Amino acid sequence: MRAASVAPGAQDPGRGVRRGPRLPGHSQMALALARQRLAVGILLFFLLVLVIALRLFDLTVLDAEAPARPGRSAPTVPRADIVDRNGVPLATSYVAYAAAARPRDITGDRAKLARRIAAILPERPPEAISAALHHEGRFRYIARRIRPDQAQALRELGEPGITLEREHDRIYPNLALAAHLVGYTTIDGEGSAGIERAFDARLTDPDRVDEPLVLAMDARVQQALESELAHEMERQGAEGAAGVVMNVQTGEVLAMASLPAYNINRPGGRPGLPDYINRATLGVYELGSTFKPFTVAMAMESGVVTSLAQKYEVSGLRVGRHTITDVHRRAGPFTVPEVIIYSSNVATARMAEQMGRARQEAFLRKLGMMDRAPGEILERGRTLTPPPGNWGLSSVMTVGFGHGIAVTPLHLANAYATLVNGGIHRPATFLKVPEGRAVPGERVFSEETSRLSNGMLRLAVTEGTGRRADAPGFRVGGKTGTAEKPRPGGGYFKNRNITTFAGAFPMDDPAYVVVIMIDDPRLARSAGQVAAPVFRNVVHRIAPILGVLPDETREPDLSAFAGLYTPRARR
Amino acid sequence: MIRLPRLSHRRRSTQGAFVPAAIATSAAGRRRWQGQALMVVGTLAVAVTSYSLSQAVATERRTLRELAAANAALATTNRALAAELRVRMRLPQLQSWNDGIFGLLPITGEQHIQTPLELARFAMPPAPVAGQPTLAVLTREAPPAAGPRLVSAPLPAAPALAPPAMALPAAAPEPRPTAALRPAPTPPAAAPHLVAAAPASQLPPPLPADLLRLIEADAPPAAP
Repeated sequence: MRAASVAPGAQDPGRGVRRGPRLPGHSQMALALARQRLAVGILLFFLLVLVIALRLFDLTVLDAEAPARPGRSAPTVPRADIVDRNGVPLATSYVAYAAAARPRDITGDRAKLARRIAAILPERPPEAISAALHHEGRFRYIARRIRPDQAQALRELGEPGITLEREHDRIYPNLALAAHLVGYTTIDGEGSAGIERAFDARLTDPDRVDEPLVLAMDARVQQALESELAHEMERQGAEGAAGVVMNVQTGEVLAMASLPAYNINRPGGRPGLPDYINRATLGVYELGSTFKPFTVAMAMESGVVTSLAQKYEVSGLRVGRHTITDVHRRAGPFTVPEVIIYSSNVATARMAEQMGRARQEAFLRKLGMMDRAPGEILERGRTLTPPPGNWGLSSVMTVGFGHGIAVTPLHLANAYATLVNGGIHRPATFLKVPEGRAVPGERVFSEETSRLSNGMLRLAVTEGTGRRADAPGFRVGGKTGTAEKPRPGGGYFKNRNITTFAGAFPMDDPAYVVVIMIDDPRLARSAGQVAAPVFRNVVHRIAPILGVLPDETREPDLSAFAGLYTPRARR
Repeated sequence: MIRLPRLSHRRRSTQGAFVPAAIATSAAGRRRWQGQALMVVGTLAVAVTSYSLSQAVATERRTLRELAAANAALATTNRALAAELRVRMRLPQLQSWNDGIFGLLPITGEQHIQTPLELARFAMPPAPVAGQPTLAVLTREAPPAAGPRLVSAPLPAAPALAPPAMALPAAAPEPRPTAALRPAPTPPAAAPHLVAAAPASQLPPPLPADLLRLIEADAPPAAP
């Protein structure tokens, strides 16, 4: 036996000291143990391989960073573009430079460096440059949004304490065009007015930054509107002007202008200054006789007017201490179309009186006249209506011909769209509405009332006060409105007016509403002389763009008014 | 003297008995060696495959990153060029050119032709108006007839106009298909001074300096 051949405690020459006698089975046990260890080792090895394989699978297949968005590069700008309905950019971003100082790293003479920088950046005050260089902190901007040639000149200074930071900036290619609608961003890229402010979260959403925000606006229509308004404003020496062009079926605002405007690339100034006030959505005005078609339509809709031949006396109407009279003196009584043609204050006041406050208020509410201006932007004014406790008979009557109530031009455009489109109110929107996706809207007037109103608006242009608004071939209809400007301390100016023309075209199938408002014209004072020609020029320019071609052989059906008015003598 | 057994030359059989080393080497030893070799080869194969896969993935990713970077650079350049183009052809600028130079007017109802028949009517010679002198065209081939009286009048010389101060880029303004010409305030001879477009290889950096000066200038509000 091998175990017996080795004495206990003897030394085995190859294995060191043997601690005891080797018993039968020891070798098998050692071998089994070694095999177990080997098996565990192999298992661990395979586990390691498995872990690596799983990790590889994770990196190559499951890791969502790059493969999850194949073919899509990282967004190049932090803010989405704004484009018009045809894709014309209204606001876009680009990479700009900002010069900054790291005062602790400046090696040269700071005063000398400040002079050299001031020579490169003349628009920056030298004190501000010096303050940045002597700032105690680690970093301070010297100037932001500098030009590439200025950045290059600063780089060539070779001063390690002057750094150039690349940052994104906003550019508005059309300068002041639609300034109040598009708005602008602060130097830190936050929306500060208009669409930029209202859609700040949408424009900076990383998932949608490559997707431009499409407005309902048509830049060509906007340009036509602004240029005609600016021309008339300059000619008249007016204080301001505003205009709206709206699609009557969808409520899309194709153009909205407020003048004077400002360059949104460098807004500067203070938002409280007149240039910054959006007169189309924030300014509220008594828009005068442009309200009369609503009163007539309300009267027809509520059963006060049952026949177009119904006659109304137009002699002075006494209300309390005041007497309501007509500006355009003509012998009455007037039929319903004549009330619109000759813009009778007295007749519309009588209609409003018969209708009463409750129905008038309900209609105004349905037309959106009791709420803030419609649309998505945040600069929206609240209308001024008679206080609920003082909405008496005199208020009802004055509101009937457009006084005692102040609304924005956008309110007026929206209400006219409701009147001419068949009677359905759809809130105005500044965003493009996909074809066939217009909101259903709420019916305010019946189709018959709307059809008759369209006819009367056409007559007001061909026979009445809005003759200068007639654009031959485009079948224009609309109503003038001249209202005295309110005095700040109460009462009204006698020689300062707000002139308005609100109308639509083509009246045989109304498609677009245009509202023109000129604030305080000096050469002429009536809307027929001031706002109506602007309306005509705007229609001439925008109708072909919008696909409405002139056709002098067509006219809306005016047979319902035959014999109810005296056609004016034509040369 | 105790003789120590040479265990290295012996191998325990599966039944627990010792068998000669030569026999053990020939069968079980070979299997063990083959197993170890197989394991090494397998491990190497897995490692090499994994490494190759990893390398392939890394290469693919690097290519993607480079492509994305190139795309981003191109997109930035594209945006800058598009912005420059849009600023140069901004609508207020086109309006001012039209007001000052081109004098285009929108179409009127009389100018719009509904049918080809109306168009053909323009080709008809106008009916002579009684009491007005008749004009005839004199050509080499056809000498004037004795009947009509020729009327001639010298054309007024076109006034020499100073070139406009504004330099127009080579790009033409958007065509306005429905616009018609009105009597222009200045004769067409006073063509604007055109500046040749720079070749693509010499394109200025994104948003050149003059452009930024342009957009930052305090332009008059909504110039007509």
